[in-house]
Amino acid sequence: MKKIYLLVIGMLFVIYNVANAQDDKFKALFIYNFTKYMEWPEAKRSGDFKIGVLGNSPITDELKAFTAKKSVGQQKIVVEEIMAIADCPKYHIVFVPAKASANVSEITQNVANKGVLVVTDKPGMAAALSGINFVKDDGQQTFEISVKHMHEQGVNAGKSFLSLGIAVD
Amino acid sequence: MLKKILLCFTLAAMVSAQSFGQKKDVSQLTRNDILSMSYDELADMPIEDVMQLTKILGVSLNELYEMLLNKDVTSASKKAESSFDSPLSTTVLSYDEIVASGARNIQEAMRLVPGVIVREKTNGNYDIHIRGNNNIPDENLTVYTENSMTLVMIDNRPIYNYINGGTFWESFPIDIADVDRIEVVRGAASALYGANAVTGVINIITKNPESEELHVNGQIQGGNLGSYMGSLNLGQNIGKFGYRVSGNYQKMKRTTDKFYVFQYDSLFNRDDIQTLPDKTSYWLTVFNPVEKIEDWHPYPETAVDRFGVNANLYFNPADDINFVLSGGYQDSYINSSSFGDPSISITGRDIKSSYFNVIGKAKGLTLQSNMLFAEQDIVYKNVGFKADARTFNINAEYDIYVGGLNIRPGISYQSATYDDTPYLIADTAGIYSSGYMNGECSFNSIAGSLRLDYKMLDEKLRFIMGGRFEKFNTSDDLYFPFQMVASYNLNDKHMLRVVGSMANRSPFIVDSYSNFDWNRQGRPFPSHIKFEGSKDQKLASTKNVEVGYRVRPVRNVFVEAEVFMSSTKNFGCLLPESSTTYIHGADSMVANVNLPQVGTVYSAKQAVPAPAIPYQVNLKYQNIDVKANQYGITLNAEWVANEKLVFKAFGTYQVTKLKDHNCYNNSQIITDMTTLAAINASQGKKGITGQGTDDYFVKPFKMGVQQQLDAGGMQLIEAGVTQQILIGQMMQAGMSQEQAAEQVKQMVGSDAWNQVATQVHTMAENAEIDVQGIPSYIAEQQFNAEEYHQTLQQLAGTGLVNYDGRYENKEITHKATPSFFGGFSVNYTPIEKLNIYASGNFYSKQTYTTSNGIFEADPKFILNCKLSYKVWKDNAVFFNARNLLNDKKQEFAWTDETKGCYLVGFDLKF
Repeated sequence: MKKIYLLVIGMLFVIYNVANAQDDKFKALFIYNFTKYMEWPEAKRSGDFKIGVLGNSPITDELKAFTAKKSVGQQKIVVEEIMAIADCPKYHIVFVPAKASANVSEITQNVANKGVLVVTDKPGMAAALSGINFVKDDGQQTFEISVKHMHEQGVNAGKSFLSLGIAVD
Repeated sequence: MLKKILLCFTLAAMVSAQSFGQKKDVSQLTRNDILSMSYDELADMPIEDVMQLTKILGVSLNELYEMLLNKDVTSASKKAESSFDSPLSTTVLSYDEIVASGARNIQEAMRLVPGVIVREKTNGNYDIHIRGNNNIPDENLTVYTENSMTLVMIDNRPIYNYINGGTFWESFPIDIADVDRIEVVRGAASALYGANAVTGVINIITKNPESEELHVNGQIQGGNLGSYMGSLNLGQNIGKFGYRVSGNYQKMKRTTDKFYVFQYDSLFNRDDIQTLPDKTSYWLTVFNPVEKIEDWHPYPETAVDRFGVNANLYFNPADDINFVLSGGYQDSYINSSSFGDPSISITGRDIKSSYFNVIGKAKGLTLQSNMLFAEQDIVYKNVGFKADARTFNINAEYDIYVGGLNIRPGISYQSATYDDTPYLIADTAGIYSSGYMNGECSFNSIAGSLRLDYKMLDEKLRFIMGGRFEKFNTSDDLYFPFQMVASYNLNDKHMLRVVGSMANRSPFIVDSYSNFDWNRQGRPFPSHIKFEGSKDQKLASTKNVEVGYRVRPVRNVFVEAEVFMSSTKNFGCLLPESSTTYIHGADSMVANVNLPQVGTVYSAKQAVPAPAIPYQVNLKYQNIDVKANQYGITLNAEWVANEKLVFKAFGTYQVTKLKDHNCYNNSQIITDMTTLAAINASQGKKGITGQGTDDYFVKPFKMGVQQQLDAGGMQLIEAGVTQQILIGQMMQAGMSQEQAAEQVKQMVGSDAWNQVATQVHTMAENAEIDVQGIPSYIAEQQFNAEEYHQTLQQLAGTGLVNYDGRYENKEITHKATPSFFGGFSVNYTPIEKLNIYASGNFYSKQTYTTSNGIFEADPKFILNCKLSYKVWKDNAVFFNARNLLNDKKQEFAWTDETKGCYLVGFDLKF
């Protein structure tokens, strides 16, 4: 019977990982595209362009695949796993996976006016805290935009970008 | 020249520049195009195009969700509708899923359907029930564990065994390659399909040619357990016509070539069974010496050996007018659980049949007619069980639409005729008596039906009322199965439905026309058992209430719950009606074998276990009081995680209570009848009809002893007597007995020995068997449960009987249907060419109770897996593992251990 339990657990593990693979790929693609439409404060226009992913998430590898050899202006894009919330202000974009959403409030407090775009992945997050939040609309992967929260985080977006997502304020 | 070169270069440069600057039209991309794009290609796209890609993926994924989670179904309303909207508990199994799963035949594919219990009997042969209610009545013949409550059809053509109800699954002319989809409706559906759709309907819909291009599909595979099988289907449309032809072949071996002998609770080689002594009557053998077991079982190792061919013609003169003409032939032999009552659990079944089916649809009218001709030997080579069968169905229905109301009146006629005389030998007067029916028997029914289907509130609210009047020629009763449904579809995400229905079974040949005199010469008592049908019994019927809820909380998830309650009554079985009993005073009978001039050389003693021995028992088909009240819930969840992964899980929990349950154990009833006959006779009450004669009791005993002598006993006696005579002669000459015995041992085979032995042999030919302790009276006794209940209760204190209240109606929990059963499947396509399909089935403990005793089937989990790799388009090589963990636990009472079956093969599709 133990073999069967192990088998079922193994299957569920595979299912969990495979189910999200395609979604993760396109979320990473969107995040890379956000770099083209945002304006960061002067202080962040030199050095590497840092994208941080809070905790262990498969989206980190997807982001690395998209951004290898890519840059924002003269800034080389670097993707890292964020180990501590206190490190968030040094990034240009912080992605918070759904499973880590409980930390969003603390993160937004840490990055206020620091030029950090906070991207989340849980329904309702853009309305509450984040600048951009991934959602699904009738099966289609899209995103919500909160101009208010982006401003609070010290990031501006062009008008053409605002028309692409779902405005929440 | 230079100008020309420059011109060419300029043109080439312009073309290149144009190509380079040409923007990819993402709206034209397909899902597969997008999924095959590299990271760099995707990263170079503007975000507007990326959004367009996600839209395409979203739409195609939604289409995928609809295809997998909301298939079209026709069986629940007899018209196409989405399974989400189906008013009844419905599951649709597609061809692609069946192939992906690795199911070896249609029976095994049923393991993928919620609410269905599938148990393997012998390799590749299955017992299939919807929701259970099997093994009712208990303690009786094994055949009552088989499902006779579900109507199985191919393209609405009933594939039903009207001999005693149920389905001979191996006798299908088609196989998986023919299947477009299998639709399963759980719950009573006689109002739609007529008799026998008591626990539900399994409707196998075959493929229609869809284009003018030749379509070919099928598979071949082979593996251990002597398994090799193949099926092929091809068809195409040619203008307004179309054709489809198919063929299939399947051969599988049993997991053993031995047979289980009930009396010994053990497996034996076929050839050892013939001479195995009977434990209850030592002068008999377990297997009837009149029969030859090698005739019964010429292929002890075979599980399935079958083939079928089919041809279909299609004519579609207009969009709303079409005709289909189908025909086919099949030949099958299997070894599986027995339909008879032999001393071993497995017998052969040999069926050859051909069919014709015609379906015509014009505007709202649907007309269907079909015939089947079969030669069925359902207990192979067992005299009396072979018959020719002929069934005929014709029905017509017409759809009328008035606003949101669909009115569908219909009429139908059905007949089933069975004739065993072609396989019997008549006596000199031309009378048949050795068969089960001894003549041509048939039943027919005529029915009229009406179904009202009304949709309102933008088709969200739906009411269905359907009823059917059906009259069978075997009974004066008129049957009225009905169905009432109310369903509400809230915003395409939630669907609630309530169903109330009633359904009945049809009469069967065994129930109505049994006329079998089982001469048990050479068997334990009784010497004769007469099986008699009865036409005036009520047909088993069920009342069913269901509440169902379907929800799609998100587009890629489907969850369904169905709560069901049913009450089934008017079960019937062959029960003792009367017995003729031989009453005697002696404790034992002794048969002495006497040689002239020598005297008694051998004595066989038969202890008499009871003061009476039944000589003849009449079993008659009778309705019984028991009612099966069942309630339960089936949960089914399907999740299309993405285009690569589909996950399904389902399970049913059910409880069945048997109310007014009584004793249906024929052996027990016969024992009680003989006991009561003896008591009544000894008290001079009633039943004594004459003096005992040799015919009733002594002759069978003598015959048994004679058989024992013929089987070698007489040779031993001859040797013994020869030895004794020679010893006597030597002792007369003065030798001591010890010396004489020693001398005679050396003489075996000498001239003197042979001379005496020849004389003894001559004497032995004239041996007489003298039986002493002959019984004295004959008494007749009718069976009456109430009378037995009272009498046995009165006698309990005397010690004459062990009264256990067995004729008292009781309520018991039915344990033959597992309380929990279900399954799951994971369909995973990690890369386009590779597919992995894993599926599992499980059931909790189940207890079979038949006249052969009690069989406990332990809980079991069966894991299957198929890995297929596409080598060219959709054509794939595969490895297929059935019962991957090689769990050997028996799934059906007293049948074979199961074993892992591992196959490799090729799926064909183009």
